[in-house]
Amino acid sequence: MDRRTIPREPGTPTPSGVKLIFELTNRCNFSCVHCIREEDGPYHDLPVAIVNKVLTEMQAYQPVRLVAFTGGEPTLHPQFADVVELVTTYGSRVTFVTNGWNFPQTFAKIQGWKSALESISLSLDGASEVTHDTLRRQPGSFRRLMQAVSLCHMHGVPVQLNMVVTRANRDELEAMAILAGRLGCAALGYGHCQPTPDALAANLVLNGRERREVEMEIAALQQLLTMPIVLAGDHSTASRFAQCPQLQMQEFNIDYRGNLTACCTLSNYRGGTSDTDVLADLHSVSFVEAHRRLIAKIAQLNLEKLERLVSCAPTEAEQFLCTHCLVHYQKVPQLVQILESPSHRSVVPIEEASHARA
Amino acid sequence: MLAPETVLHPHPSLVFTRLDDTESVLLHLDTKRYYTLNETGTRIWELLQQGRSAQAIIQGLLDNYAVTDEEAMPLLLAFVDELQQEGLVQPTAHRG
Repeated sequence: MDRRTIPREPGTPTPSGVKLIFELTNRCNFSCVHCIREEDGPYHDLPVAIVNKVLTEMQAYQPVRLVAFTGGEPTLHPQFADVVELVTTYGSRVTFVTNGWNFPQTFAKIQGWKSALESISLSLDGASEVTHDTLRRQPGSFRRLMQAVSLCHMHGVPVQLNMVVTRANRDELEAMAILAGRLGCAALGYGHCQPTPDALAANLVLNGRERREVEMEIAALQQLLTMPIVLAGDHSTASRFAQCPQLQMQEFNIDYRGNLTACCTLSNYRGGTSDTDVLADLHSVSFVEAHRRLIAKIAQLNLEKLERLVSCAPTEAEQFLCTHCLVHYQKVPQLVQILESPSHRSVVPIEEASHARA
Repeated sequence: MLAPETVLHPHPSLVFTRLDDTESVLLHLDTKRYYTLNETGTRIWELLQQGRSAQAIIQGLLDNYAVTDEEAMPLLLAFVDELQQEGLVQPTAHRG
């Protein structure tokens, strides 16, 4: 028996280039209330040919440093190992997010390309077994995920733990950081629970003030620990024209239907009623043309933002990167009212609050 | 010395994961320590998980490996000693 010390993963230099995000499937073996993706079918798996087409067409004019697979649960894609292998033939690094439920079987299929794995993102929504299993509505999921952590640790594959911060786990931020560090994880990512109708109904979504408090707590943890800690995606910003990596065109999101979309968060958004974020069907449109449409969309978004700022101050929802676009793209029209209602806003004018109570 | 009827219980905070056909890893959720088990250790651990007695584990080793009865007991004793030192098994219980 050999007791191992826990190594910290050294940072490794990586070549420059963009990040491609492929939603490999909209199927999932979990049913988490706080998930941003639409749960109901019909179910689709992204054709491998689309992945190949995008890589070929994009590599022709800019290098792809990293390919990320999301979903749904991307490892449920029937050709998951083939897609991983395909990406390695282009010389790109690979990462994917998973709930870890079937990880031993998944890893066995892709082990041959583990040197191409930048990291594996494991979705862990609580530092304690009961918190995670309750949020994930899947008894045993914490321990299955710990099996995934163990396998990666022993095979030298960097792990990033990802935690969606909800009202049910926001008291476990520090415990999560300590857990990730002691498990020898390479990084830890936090993300705000997005205001889907289901997550709001379950009272899991924090309001603006609470989210800012979470961000300050995360900033303090970043100062304390040497392990990289990130707040992924949505966050508050004082900048009126802050741009996420998608809007900076450092990252590109292709949904499970084969569309280039303007946003990785809004894609297949739960409760969404429109496809206003969809730019091009890559089955029939070249990636270059889709990229042109993205550039036009970003310009249009910024112009509309400017015009709106000229006419009124940004609302609280608009002061967060992802919720700004959620409102802008009208993905779930009724959410706009909810996000600006006194019960969800952190600062409510006195007269408005009195009126609401009355 | 282990009594033949002794049953050792894996600590409830341990997560067992097979690495391949031979090796495995234990993660202790309380201490966050990893422990690797070789082929024999993995086999013994799986028998422990099944609630087998020391006598049954020795029989399992005799059935699967080219060891004699005299060799199997010290092997098991040494392994159990390490498990106990690391707090990986609960206090022993005896089948009534």
